[in-house]
Amino acid sequence: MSRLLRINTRTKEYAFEEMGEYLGLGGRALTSRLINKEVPADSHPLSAQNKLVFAGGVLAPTNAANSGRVSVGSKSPLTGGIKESNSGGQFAHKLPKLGLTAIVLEDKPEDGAPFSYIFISGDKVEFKDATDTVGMYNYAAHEKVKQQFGEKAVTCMIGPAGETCRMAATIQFSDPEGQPTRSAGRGGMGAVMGSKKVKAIILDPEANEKTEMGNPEAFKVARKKWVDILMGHPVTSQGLPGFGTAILVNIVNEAGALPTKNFRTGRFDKAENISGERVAELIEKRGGKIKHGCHTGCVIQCSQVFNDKDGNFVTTGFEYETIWGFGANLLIDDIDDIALMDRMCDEIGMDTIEMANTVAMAMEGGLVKWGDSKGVLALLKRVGDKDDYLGRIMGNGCGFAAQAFGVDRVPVVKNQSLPAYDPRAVKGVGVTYATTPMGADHTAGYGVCQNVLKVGGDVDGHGKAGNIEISKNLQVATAAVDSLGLCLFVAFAVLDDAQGVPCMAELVSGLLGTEYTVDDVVALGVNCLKDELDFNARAGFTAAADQLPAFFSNETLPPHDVVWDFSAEELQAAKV
Amino acid sequence: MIKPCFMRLFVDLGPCSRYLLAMKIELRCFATLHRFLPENSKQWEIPDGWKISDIVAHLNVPEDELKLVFINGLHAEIDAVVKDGDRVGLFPPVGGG
Repeated sequence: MSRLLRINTRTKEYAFEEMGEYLGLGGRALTSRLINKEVPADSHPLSAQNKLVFAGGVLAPTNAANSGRVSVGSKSPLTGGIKESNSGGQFAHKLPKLGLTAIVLEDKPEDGAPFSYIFISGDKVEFKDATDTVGMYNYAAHEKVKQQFGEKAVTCMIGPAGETCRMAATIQFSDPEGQPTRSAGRGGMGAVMGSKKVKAIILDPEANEKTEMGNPEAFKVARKKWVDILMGHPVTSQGLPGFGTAILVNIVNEAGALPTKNFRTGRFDKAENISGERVAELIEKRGGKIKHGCHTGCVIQCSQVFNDKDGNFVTTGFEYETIWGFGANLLIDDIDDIALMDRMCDEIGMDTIEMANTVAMAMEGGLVKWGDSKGVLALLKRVGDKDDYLGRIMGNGCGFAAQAFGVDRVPVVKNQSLPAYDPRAVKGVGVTYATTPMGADHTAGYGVCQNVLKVGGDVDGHGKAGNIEISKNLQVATAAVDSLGLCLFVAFAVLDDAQGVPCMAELVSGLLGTEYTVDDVVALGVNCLKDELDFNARAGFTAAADQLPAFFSNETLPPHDVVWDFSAEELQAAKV
Repeated sequence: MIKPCFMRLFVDLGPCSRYLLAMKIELRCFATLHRFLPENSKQWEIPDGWKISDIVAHLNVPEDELKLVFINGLHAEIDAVVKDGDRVGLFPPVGGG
């Protein structure tokens, strides 16, 4: 079965509907189509007119490797534009077991209404009072949720940041170990969920509807070929499981593109101390885990479990962006304190990239000293306390905090703050930051592949030539991958393998029992981007929004002394 | 006393032993290549005129394990000539996000 479940958060009514005009869509293609069609572009993101959509990808009903990513879509409180926030966890593969492709939260309760859990089984939706976990940190709250709904409960949940509608608030998804550690991080999706007074969505652990493959034999062949492709590439089979994403610290630093002290230079002299090699060494020594998948069926296993010096669990999902943001960007090189920051963000439910850039604004504003990791931890702790005005400022992200503190060096596009690659030295991803409908987003079109990693080609990241093309192509490819529900890291294998995209099409053909072509895969991505660009245009975004802050054009970046030199007009060519 | 040193020179540098030790470079070997890192890597003495391929051969790095070469932060090919004071970084195939 493939159904759309609509839930009214004010009346508590619900309807299991046919997919109708959304038939054939999944993941980001579905969330962006629905938001574009059903949410007035001038809605206030925290109002009753906004909707929050959770969708598994087209391949979520299958056991294809790495097909369990979930898309969360809405109008973003942070950017004011359309947002798809992507996450790991168990949620996407559970939805088809309930006969669902997507869940849509609509409307919002009256002011002062209590928070609810929403429990979903195959034929009904129940609202339960969630007052007892409001204000709690996520790990403890999730234990209570499991006590109430079962140890095997598959969930998504907001923490105190989402409850207080902070613009940097995440939605945390439960992982294969039943912990709330995987984040739909960017763009404040947690704030939208909080505005609708939904504390958590719990999917019935007993639900187990099977999906028949349309052409089981063809699917089986494609499934095996797909695993061979992923296991046949050194990045997906060795690099990522061996060292995780934090391996990028040393590479991006070596390339002179690691943003240091709020995007002032491209090299951090203490990069070694926060590198993937150092993290792997500590994990081995302290008994954590080096290979770890964020969802069942992942064969890449790039994540990890990180312990403290006494061998106690600190955090998981401890990734490059977080380590860069709380590390080099703030002149912090204490990896254990950075791990505590990661844990704090998971507990309160806030985006690590956004919070790292927000802390940078606090440092620029003199609230905390550069490099003061203990000061940073104390600051992060204040987010989510509804009576703490500084916490409320910090939880609203980089742009808002910069205005509060009188800071003029603000690394944001469409009010979302920049990730871990300086755009002056990695222009392929810089074009993406400027032109993706998502705001400054690296995953939306990861030009780092061609500029730094020599995956999918080799294009100089310091010059303009070729970088608009690679960003545009990557944006389309990424939107397609996000719509199929595949982990974006499959791209490392697929970009270097001509069999990759055809195999993705064959997986879908095997599922549907009808022919699905490479052109269909591409169309999924192109049409998704068209929906997003359309929404943003109607929300008031013009070409002027497709540009980086002026300081990137006015200041050269050491060590290579490169500068951002694309105009907003030139950048329009990166859009479909 | 000199002879044992000379023997070491021949053993260490093989066919390159006829060149003088004329350059010092800063060498970094990352991820799985870390195991090939020589002593004094931050001030590593090598013969004048060596290319990246000479370094790789000398350290016994298997060709299929080397993916990225940086010289002073810029991508370089395996046949690039290294100069005194260069910062060289070697990486296997890696990815992330």
